[in-house]
Amino acid sequence: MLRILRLPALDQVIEILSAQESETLLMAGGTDILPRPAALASTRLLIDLSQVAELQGIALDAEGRIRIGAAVTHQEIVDHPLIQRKAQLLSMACSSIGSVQIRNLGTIGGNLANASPAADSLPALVCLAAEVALASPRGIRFLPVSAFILGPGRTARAADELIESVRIPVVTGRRVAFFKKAGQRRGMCCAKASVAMCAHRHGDGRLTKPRVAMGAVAATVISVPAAERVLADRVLTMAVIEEAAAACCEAAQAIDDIRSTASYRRHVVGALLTEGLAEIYDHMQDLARRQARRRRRRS
Amino acid sequence: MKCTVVGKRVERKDARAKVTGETIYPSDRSREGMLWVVAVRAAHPHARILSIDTERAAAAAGVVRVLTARDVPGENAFGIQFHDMPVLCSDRVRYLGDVVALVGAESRRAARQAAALVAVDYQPLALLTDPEQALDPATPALHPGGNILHEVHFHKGNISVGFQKSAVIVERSYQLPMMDHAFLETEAGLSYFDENDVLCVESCGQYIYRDRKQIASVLGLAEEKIRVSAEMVGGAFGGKDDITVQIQLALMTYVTGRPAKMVASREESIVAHSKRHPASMWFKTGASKSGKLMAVEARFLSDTGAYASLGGPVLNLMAEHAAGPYLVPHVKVDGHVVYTNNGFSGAFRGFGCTQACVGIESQMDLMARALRRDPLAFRQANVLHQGDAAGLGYEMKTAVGAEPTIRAARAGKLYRQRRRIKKDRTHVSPSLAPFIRRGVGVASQMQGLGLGVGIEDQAEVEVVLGPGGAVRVKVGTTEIGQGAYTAYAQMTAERLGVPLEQVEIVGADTGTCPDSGATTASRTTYAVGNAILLAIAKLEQRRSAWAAQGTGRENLSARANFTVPTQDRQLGDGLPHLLYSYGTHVVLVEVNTLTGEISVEAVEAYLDGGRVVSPLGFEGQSEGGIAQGIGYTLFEEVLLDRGRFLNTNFDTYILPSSKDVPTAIHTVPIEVMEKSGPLGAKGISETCTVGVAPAILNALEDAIGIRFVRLPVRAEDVILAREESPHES
Amino acid sequence: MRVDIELGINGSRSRFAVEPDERLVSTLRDRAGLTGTKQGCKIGECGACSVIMDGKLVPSCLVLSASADGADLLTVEGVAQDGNLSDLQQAFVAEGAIQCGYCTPGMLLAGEYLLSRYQRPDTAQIKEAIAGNLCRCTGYTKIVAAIRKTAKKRSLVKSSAQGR
Repeated sequence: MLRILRLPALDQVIEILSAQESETLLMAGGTDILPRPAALASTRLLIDLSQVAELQGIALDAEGRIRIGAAVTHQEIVDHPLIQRKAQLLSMACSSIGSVQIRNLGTIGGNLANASPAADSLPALVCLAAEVALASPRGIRFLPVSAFILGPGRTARAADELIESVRIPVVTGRRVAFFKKAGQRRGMCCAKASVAMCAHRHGDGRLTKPRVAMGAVAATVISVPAAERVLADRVLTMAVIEEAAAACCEAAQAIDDIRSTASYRRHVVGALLTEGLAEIYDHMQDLARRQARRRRRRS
Repeated sequence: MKCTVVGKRVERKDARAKVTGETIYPSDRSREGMLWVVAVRAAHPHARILSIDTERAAAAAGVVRVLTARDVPGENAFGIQFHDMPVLCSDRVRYLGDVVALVGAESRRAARQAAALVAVDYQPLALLTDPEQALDPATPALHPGGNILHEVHFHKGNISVGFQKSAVIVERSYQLPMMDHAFLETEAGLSYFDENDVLCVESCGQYIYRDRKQIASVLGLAEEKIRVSAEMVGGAFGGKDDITVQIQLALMTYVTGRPAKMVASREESIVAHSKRHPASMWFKTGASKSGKLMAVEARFLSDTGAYASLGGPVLNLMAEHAAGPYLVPHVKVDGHVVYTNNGFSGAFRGFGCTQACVGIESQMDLMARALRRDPLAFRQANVLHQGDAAGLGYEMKTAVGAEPTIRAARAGKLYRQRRRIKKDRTHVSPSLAPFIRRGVGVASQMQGLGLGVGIEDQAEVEVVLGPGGAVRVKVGTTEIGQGAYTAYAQMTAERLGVPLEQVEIVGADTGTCPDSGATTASRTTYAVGNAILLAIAKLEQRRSAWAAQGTGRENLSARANFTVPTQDRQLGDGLPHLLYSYGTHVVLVEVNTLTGEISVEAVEAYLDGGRVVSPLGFEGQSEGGIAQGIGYTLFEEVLLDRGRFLNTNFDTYILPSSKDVPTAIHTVPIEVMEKSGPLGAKGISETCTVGVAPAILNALEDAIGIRFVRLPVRAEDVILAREESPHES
Repeated sequence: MRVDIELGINGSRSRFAVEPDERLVSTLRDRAGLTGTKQGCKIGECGACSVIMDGKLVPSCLVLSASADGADLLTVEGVAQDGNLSDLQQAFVAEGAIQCGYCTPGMLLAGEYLLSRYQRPDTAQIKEAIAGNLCRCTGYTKIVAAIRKTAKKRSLVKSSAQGR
């Protein structure tokens, strides 16, 4: 018989988890769990996390990182000024999740726990060097997202642990970022493949510290060091973009499934990177032209 | 004739109740003491049933009754054309939607849980999933008459002469997918015995009187003991033309005496109900050097799946429309429709024309290209006119609006300015502009209206004049969203000279409304509209007779029956038609050659359905038809693997969303008045969607130089095709 | 074992005993008798069951009723006030944004939710706002137009009020 506990405080959840009751399911928004018809069939205890006070809120933590509570919804992330200013890439990625209805229910913690290879938030979190905070009776431990996600539906969360929050280091300076996704349609779709990128932008047209990550082209979200190496410290040109795109295609280990084909996925990650970088390139050209005009006017 | 109500942008009669949530749909109905009914469907797409054990299910908590074939009192079969679909299978299942048992329980949950306890022992049989294999006489038969449901062989002129006279000959094969109607409301209904012991079925069907007849034969009851209604339904598009839940509900109520309710889950709906026929088509067409169409040769292989449904008539309409709205001296059409274990297919908006139009309109473009002719001018030069011989040779006797739609399309903005519009890249980041290609494509089509020769096609209505000028019109057709009730009310108000608000449409109940025929085949505005005008004429005759006698009467009613006229000579079931609606679509597509993504950016639709009765409804039909056409061309395909459905909900069966349909849709009425139509009207509910797919395909070739011959065309196909054609610029 | 919950529906509070895995859409339709909220897919893809819960648009098929305990809900039945259609409802009627009407309740609430967040949404924002609401009949065009016109009307009313 299914029992539902809607708990208000983190320590209550942790207490139950440490009791190691079998067939306990943690749920926040439910947008990944409830569409599956058999999801609740074998569950005896469902813990509804959506009201847990400690899992709410977006703010800077003691170390100056952005802390996003695990039960914060995708739409709250999209709308939050701190995210828009300091982690715009995540805002972009979360805005492409499902529909607004789904974004109003689904949470960042749930997206992590579900560990879908196609999850939109994950490539962004990887690029932003985000860490997952896991709470347990032993306290809180931090794991980089890439270490937390182990495979489709598999994470490094221990049975008595709970995703408490996501922490994102704040980086200063001029940044560029994009999240691009190929779906089965434009509105509300699951990614056939996705690419996230962020980097520092310099006045001379160089990008530094680029981070590139891809979704739905491997068993987990993957970062693409080869593409990052191509982009790092180089003036962005269409030739550089082409080279980085090829590195993305090379890195994809895609499969065929009902949504798309392996070969298309391999192809399209390069295309998505090209699109995103070309827009950045055009943007930087535009800035440079404007700057030149200003300089001419001054002289 | 000048109209004051007809042709005006009036509110839908049902709009207010629909925006407040007051409208009661079949799935909303409930009744004290009702049972929830859940169907136990086949576990194998083709198997012999060795035994059915309902004991555990019947003993489960809350279960009132589990029905199997033994509980069917009358004929254990139904179907629109042939009664070949078992109500409850006892010896064999032919697709996953076949029903072996019905569970009636006190709650939906109990019914569902008990359904899983019905133990059926199956012996799987060899699957037939390849339609080509179905043509082989050596293949074991799915039905007593063999695996070929129906075949057509037509010719006009001499096809080899036609090709001899052709300077340009184009030959292509086309593959078309199985498509789901995806009506937003799944099959649903409620049944109960009323106080007079009449078995009432409040349901979602498209033809209440035919439903009643079928229920009666299954139950062995007199039709008068059954009442079927289906007033407001959450979409149908042909997918609720076949019986869905009606018989199952009636049977449960008949056996248990209790009210019963059924609502299909989406997964069940996609598996169980009919689909658009998947088909492979081969076309060979020729034109002379001067651009005259000389020959059209076509071969069709249509897959009706496990049961006939309307597979035969759909193939007939494919043949009828194979040569499009063109004058072609030499035509040869051969086609087969076969049984397989691939679900089952039946009526779907367009009804065979959709498939045929993809073929002929692709061919028209290919020929125009080969002849270096303007694609619309080429069509215009070959278009059918009244009095011409149609593709299959009979005379086009009624108003033909094909040419005016083409002429208007040529003069339209999208077509006239296509060179400029195609070059526009202002919406794209400059470095990406070289990767963006735009193309404009066109397609013209005609669509038979009504059921065609050999199928009874009548509409009876009753018009009642009440006190204070109130008018009630009783019609038997269903309001499935198409807006017909509003059109009926407009025609009534127009003819009687009363305000629209005084007209009430009472719909779709065999207990109160006459038999107006099926809500299908673009027929209702025309057929029901004519019947209404006939009834009003009777009323006015009587009224003036009474006036002459100096007596008045407040309550006055008249019934009238209208029969849809047909051609004299029958070429097949429902073949051919006398009346057609016409249309030409112009479509702008944009292809992102980096990602392969295709988007439809703008559509102009020039539609002739005679006089437009209800402009809002007309535009709405057109816009919705375009969205469905976009779905058919770019997104939708029911995927089957060895008879099993792979995508049974909207996460994997992809419908176009708001972001996948352009807002730039421009629908232009081309009102070629039809003399036999009510106030000159016909109907456009199918022609508005038929041409969309080929217009997109033609626009794609214009954009990227690739001819796609398989639907749906996805980004994957674009990338693959470009990789395979390296010479393409 | 049923769970006792309380819901505020369209301004009035009611108590229900629900199954632990019961979805809000079922509670509304089968227990509260509010059948205006429709069900089309039960997996959050079609939007027909959309309601506004505590100010947010949600698919009620993906909300456990037990998790909604205490929530305030707006369903289609609560949009009109005292029998008067809201401006958005009027626009749906006038623009012809309704055909079979089965998506209409969800569409209306998606529209209301959008207009509660943006004063003058552009076409792209409107399309995004209803991208989770599938419509099989209308092709969306007239729905987008109805929302756009309502937004325009509301912001005109607002700006003239501010002007005074």
